[in-house]
This record gives sequence, structure tokens and C-alpha cells, in this order.
Amino acid sequence: MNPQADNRTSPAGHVARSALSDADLLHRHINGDPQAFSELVRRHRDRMWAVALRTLGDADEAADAVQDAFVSAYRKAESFRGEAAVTTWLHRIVVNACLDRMRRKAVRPVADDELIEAAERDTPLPDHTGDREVSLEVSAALRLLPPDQRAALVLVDMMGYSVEDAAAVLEVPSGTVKSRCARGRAKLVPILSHLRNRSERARVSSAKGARLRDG
Amino acid sequence: MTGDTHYDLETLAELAEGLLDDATAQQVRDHLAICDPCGEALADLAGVREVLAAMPVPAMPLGVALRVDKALAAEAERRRAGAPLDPGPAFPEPDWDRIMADAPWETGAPWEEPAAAGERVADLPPLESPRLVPLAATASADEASLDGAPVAGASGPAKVNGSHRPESPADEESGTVVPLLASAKRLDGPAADERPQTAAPEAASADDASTKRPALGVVAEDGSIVAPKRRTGSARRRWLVSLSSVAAAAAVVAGGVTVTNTVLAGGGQSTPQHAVAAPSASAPAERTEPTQETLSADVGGQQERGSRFVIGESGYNYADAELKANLVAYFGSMPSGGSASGDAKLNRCISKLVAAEKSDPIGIDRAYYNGNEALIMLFWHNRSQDLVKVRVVSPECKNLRKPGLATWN
Repeated sequence: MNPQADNRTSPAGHVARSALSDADLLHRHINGDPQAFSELVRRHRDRMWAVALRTLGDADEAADAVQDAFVSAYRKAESFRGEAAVTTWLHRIVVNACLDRMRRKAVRPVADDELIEAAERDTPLPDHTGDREVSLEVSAALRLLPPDQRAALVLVDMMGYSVEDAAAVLEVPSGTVKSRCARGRAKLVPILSHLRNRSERARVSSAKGARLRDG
Repeated sequence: MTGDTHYDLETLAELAEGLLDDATAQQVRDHLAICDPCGEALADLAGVREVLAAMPVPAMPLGVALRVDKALAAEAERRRAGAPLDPGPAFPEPDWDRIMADAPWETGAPWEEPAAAGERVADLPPLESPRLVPLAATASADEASLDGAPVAGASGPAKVNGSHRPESPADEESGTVVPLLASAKRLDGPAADERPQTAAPEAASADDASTKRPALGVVAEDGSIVAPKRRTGSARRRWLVSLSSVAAAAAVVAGGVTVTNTVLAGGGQSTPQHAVAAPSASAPAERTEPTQETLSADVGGQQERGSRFVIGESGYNYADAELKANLVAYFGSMPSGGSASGDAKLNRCISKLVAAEKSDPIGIDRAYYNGNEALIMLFWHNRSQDLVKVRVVSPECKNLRKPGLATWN
């Protein structure tokens, strides 16, 4: 794949490995370098984890999906054609592992009020507002979106990838990514504002309660 | 459109994405100019983007990283055993997790973070479940069916209640690979930083672990093995088994279910079939034979008096307090299985210490001392008082601290 790869090999194999490109590493993996894939994993696992955790909204599920994805990537490395970046390919495998899991569960309410009810069920009423609550709200709200919209929003809005990058990962046209993002955001507005209002109400009422209690 | 009628969020979101045709877009913009509620809704949409973008980026928890490493180590082992990269769904492999589940260290160990990983691992379905292989295929098939909802005239400002709206009709020429642009964050941006793997320094590189580094074990002396006292009950099992390689796992399993006097070759130098056969744990003889040869070949020639040492590799980060306390919990529970060291430097170092101490070690552990890579070696100081001498040396065989005493009971 890259003729320079061999030139960069040195007796200090590990050091040299970290200087290799992703594509070189994958190539070496295919050719039997037992360390190459581990290096790829080390490079990208945090981002793969972020994608999976946000797409699935559940740490256990995300761990399963990431593991499946890396094992799958390990095995089918030869199917990598080099037409896209290795990272795109890896993201694709992770996202597909997540979508696969979501679709197997595939219980999703349709109407907006059902969505909101479900979000309420999933989000414990916070005692105080803070990053953690916002984060819980957001992941509860995301879980209510159809998988395709969720995946698009995770890549574009949360991970900050370009629409074009996300389209390459999802293997759909850019317009489809935009459309999924638009519809996903439109669904999130009422859910998030409802959850936010609920937190506000809870905070107000608990403040009132504290005043009553304390005197 | 004016007055009481408003555009729905989805139309506004599509406007923001530039998905509306020119005429419709102009219509909506005209409306927005005079309609506060719709303007607020548009702001809400922007707010959603901001909230999503502001979500903190989580790093992969160590437990998950170790789990992934273990799964990949198993893959590497299979590959070394001759499996093709993509063997198809029917490739047989022992169910490691089920086998490991009965091992004593899977049940009783207060081992901080990696314990969680171990437990999770035990819940895993075997890697060979067919779901793993055709991920891409199923996903894309599903993609087709999901997106195949009937297409209506979609780009107008029609009210849509959010159920089955077709994907953007303008771009459905599927199968095109959109070239990556340099905008936004690149997928192939800077690499994630190296994670300090205190628990299993070699876990990510299974092959390295099993070819160069041996797994677990105790001391053999002139062909007979001096088994350390073993606790069978609640001894703390700190051995981070099974994470560095399948070979290690195989060795440990066998060690856990058979008598202490069995030494086995679980290292990558031995045949993979051997490693695979071990966990079935039915025929000790099968495991014992090649081991003797391996040990003699690897270490025996380099050790004085023909002693054989098998080196444990717990990856545990020892501190002074622990190295003064009772070390049976750490070393005594070390399963007797394991492989010899093929590392000449390590063997020289061990020989040096053995010569200096004029006795054979009770236990050797490749681990960490205050966060630094270290070789911990225990020698008898006073057997009747259960005192052991603890040597802690660097990989270069330099003392990392003064030799100290610890108890062994």
C-alpha cells in the first residue's frame, strides 16, 4: 500500500510503529505484524468509544459494540479498500455495530408526546442542575430518536465531523446526512425543552420546600 | 404564511441545513421576518446543536480498553494458530469466558478497576456468535429497508408530524462515496493519547506478551518444583490473568484446576494447539511433557544448578507497604502454570540475583513498583519464621529499593 512503510521500519519497532500512518498500520496488520492493529486501536479507541457511547446511550451496550467492532475490523481488515481513510472505515464499523444493536431492540415510540413521556421515564429528576444532568437529559433525549438520525447527530453535532465525513462513514449522500440531522434536531427541541422545564420546576419547588422546611 | 400559522420545527431545521428549494426557503424566510415564535423555534434548533456540541467527550474507560485488548489478543492467538483473518462464522473456539468463570480468581478478587473488566468479560457471549461477522452487510441491508419509506413531495413547507418522512429526495443517488473534505474535525485527526495501562502493560500487544514474555508460574528446582504455599480459599488473587494473551489464559486455567506440580508451556513459543487444548483440563500429561522441554531449553541452560524459573507477570503496581506485608496473597496464589522466559536479559538478571542471594527464588513477578516497571523476586530469609527477602530491580537489573523483608504465611 505504501512502499515507504518498510523504510521506516527500524530495530526499535515500537517507536517506528507509532510514526506510521493508519493505512500503513492496517497494511502491516494484514501482512502479519502482530502489533500493528493494537497501535491502531490505541490511536482511535477513545473516539470510537465516544461515538458508541453517544449513539447507544448506554455504557454496557457501547462496550459490547466497540468490542464487536474492533474484533470485526481486525478480521476483515483485508476488506479495507483504501478508498477512504482508515478512520472512516473504523468509524463505519463502529457505527454499524451500534446501529445493528439498536435495530435489534428497535422499540421506538412514534408520537412526540410518547417521546416525551419516555424521556421522562428515562431521566431521573435531578436534585440540582449541572453538567451531569444536562448530559443525562441529552442522552435520554437522543435515545428516543430513530437510529439513523441519532447516528447522524452524534457524528455531526456531537463529534463535530463535517457532513461529508459523516456521509462517508454512514455511506449515504451528504444530503441524507443533513436531512437526518435536521429531523433529529427538530425532534430534540421539544424533548430537551420539556426536560429542561421539568428540571426548572423541580428546582423551584424544592427551593420552596426548603424554605418551608427551614422556616 | 402569516398570522396564526407557523412552520414546524422540521421545516425550520431543513431551512437551516439548506435543504429547502429556493422558493420555499424564501417563503419561510419571509415568514420568519415577521413571526417571533418561529424565530424562537429557529433559535431553539440552534440551541440543540450547541447543547450537543457541548457534551463532554468521554475517554474509553480502562475496563473497556482492557476488554477490547483481551478480545483482540484472542483474535491474535487464533490468527497465529493459522486462522485466516476472516474465518467466517463457523470457526471453532473454546468458550474462554465460560471456562474462566469457574477459575478461583474470577470469583474472589478485590482487584480495583480491572476487576470490573473481568466481570464484564465473563458475561460476554463467545466471540464466534454470528452477529460479529456480517455487521456491515446487515447494517446496509437495514439501511435500505429503513430508508425505503414511500417518498412524498417532501421539500415543501408541509406540516409533517415526524413519523415517516422520506430521506432527502434530492440526494438519493446511493452508493456514491463522498470524498472527505478538510472542513470541520477530521476523522483522522490527532491520535488519542497513550493510555497508561498500569494493570496490563502488555495487554494491547498480545503477541508480544506471549512470544517474548512468559505468563505465570513458580520455581522449579532440579526438575522438581518447589511449590509455594497456596491459599485455596480467600487469598487475594491479584493476578491479572487472561488479559495479556490467550496463552496466558490457557496456562492459568490449567494451573487453577490441576495440581500445583504441573508446569506447562503456555507461551507463544509453544504450539497454539497446545494452548488451546490446555483449558479443557482433562489430561495433565499432555500439558506436562512439552513444558519440561521448553523450560530446559529456555532457562535451564542459563541457570546455575539447572534451576528453572517461571516468571509471573501480574502487572500489579506494588508499593512499599505491600512489599513489607504478607506476600502470600500476591505470590502464593500465583498459579503454577506458565512458561519459561525467553528473554535473555531477564534471565541474566534473575541469575545474577540468584547468585547474589545464594538461593532460589520463591516467586518472581514482572510487575510495577511505584509505577515503574520492576522485577520483584522473593527469596527465603527465614523459613521457620515465614520471612522472605524481597528484591525489587528495574528491567536493567538495578535495585529500585533496598532489599527488604516481608512475611509469608
